[in-house]
Amino acid sequence: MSETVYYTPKTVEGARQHLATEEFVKVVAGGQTLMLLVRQGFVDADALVDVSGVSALSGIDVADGTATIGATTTYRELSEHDLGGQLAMLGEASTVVGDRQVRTMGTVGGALGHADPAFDLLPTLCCLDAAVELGSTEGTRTVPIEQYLVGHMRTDRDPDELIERVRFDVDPRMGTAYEKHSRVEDGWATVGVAAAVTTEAGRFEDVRVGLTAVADTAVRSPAVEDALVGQPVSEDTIEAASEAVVEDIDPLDDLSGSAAYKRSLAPALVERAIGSALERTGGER
Amino acid sequence: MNIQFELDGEQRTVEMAPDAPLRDVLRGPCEKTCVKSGCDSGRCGVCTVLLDGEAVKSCLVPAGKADGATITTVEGIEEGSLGESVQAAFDEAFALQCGYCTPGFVLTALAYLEDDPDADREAIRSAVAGNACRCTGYETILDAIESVAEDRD
Repeated sequence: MSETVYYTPKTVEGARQHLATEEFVKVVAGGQTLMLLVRQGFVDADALVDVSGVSALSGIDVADGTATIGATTTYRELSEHDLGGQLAMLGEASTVVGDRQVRTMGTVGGALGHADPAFDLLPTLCCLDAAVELGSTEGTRTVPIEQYLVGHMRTDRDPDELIERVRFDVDPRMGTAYEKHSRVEDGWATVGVAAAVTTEAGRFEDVRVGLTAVADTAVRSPAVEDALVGQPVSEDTIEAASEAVVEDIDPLDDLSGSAAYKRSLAPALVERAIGSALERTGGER
Repeated sequence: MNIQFELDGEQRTVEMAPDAPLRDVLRGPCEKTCVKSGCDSGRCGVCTVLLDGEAVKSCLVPAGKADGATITTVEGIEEGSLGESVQAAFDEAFALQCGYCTPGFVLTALAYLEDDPDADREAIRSAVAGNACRCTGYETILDAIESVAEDRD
C-alpha cells in the first residue's frame, strides 16, 4: 500500500507549510488531472496536500475594475457565475472543459498547475494579462501569466509554492469570446482561440488574441493584434488580420488534429472569436 | 490512511491509500459493485457517484477526499425520493439495455435535476454528456430524464 500522506489544511499558511516541509509533494484541488497521472505511474508523491477546504482560495470577485479568481474555484463555478460581456470568454472556456462531473471538481488552479498546452482556460488568462499569485512560507510573488507559462506543462512555480489566485484588470468597454474546435464535443481542443477587444470611434483600440493547442503552451498572437490596432472595424480587416496568426503558432500533430489542419483552422477561429468579442464591446463602434 | 465516511446512510471506516481512486474504495472494501468500472480515465462516467450530493467520477477522485464526506451510490437512493423517480423513469422509457451505464446515468441525472428544476432536453443532453452508453440508448435515456423534469413542473 502506498505510504502517501494526505493533508487537508484549512488555511493558506497550513498549506504552504506542508509544501515547505514535505519532500515530493503534490497539491490536490479537484484531482481530475492528478488522478490520471497517478494511475499512469507519473506521480507517486510522499504527500498530497488537498487545498479544497481552504476557503480563502475559493471564489470569484469582480470589483473596481479588478477581478480575482481563487485557485480552487471550479469550472462549474466559473461557468455559472454572471461574469458579464467583458469576461464572457471565461464562462465559454469553462463550459467546454470535459463534462459536468469533471467541471464540478476541476479548478482554475489545477489548470494553471498542470498547464497542459491544450487547456481551454489558459489562453483566456493570457488575453486578460492575468497575474498568477504564488505563495510559500517565504512570502508571495506575482508572475505575469506569459512568464508563468514556461513551456510544455512547465511553469515558473517552484515545488514549494502554492498557486493561490489569479488577478487581472477588467476594462468595462471590453468584449471577449472563446471559440474552440474539438474532434468530439467537449473534447480536447484541436485549436482554441480567446479574443478580447475594445473599440473607439469605429476603430480597434485594443486587441488581444490567445490560443491553445497550437504551441508548447498557450500563446498570444501579436501578429494579429498589431495588424488590427488602429484599423477600422470591418469584416474585411478582421479576415485579413486573422491570417497573420500562423506567424505566432507552431503546432504539432496530436490526437486532436494534424499540425497542417491546426494551421488552417486557427485563422478561421481567430476571425470568429474577434467577431463574437466585438458584439460584446461596450465602446463606440 | 484511515478513511471515514457516510456511504448510503451507513458510517464506514476503511484503510486505503489516499491516492487510490475512490472507485476502488467503493468496489473493494465497501463491496459496492453497483459502482461500475469502465475507462479508468474519466471519460465513460460508469463510476459516477454522489460526493456530498454532487455527481463526480469516482475514478478521478482520490480516496483521501472521501474522508468526512457523504457518498451516495444507486443503492442509497431512498424510497419516494427524486432518485427513485429517475430510476422508475428509466424503467418506463426502456432507457437501458445491458444496464452497465445505468447507475452512472441515474446519479448524474439525479444531481442535475436537483440543481436545475427547469431542465429542457438540450440542457439534459449537456448534463449527461460525460456518460457513455454503448447500447446507443441515448434518446430513451433523454426521454426518461426529461419525463422526470416534466413531471416536476
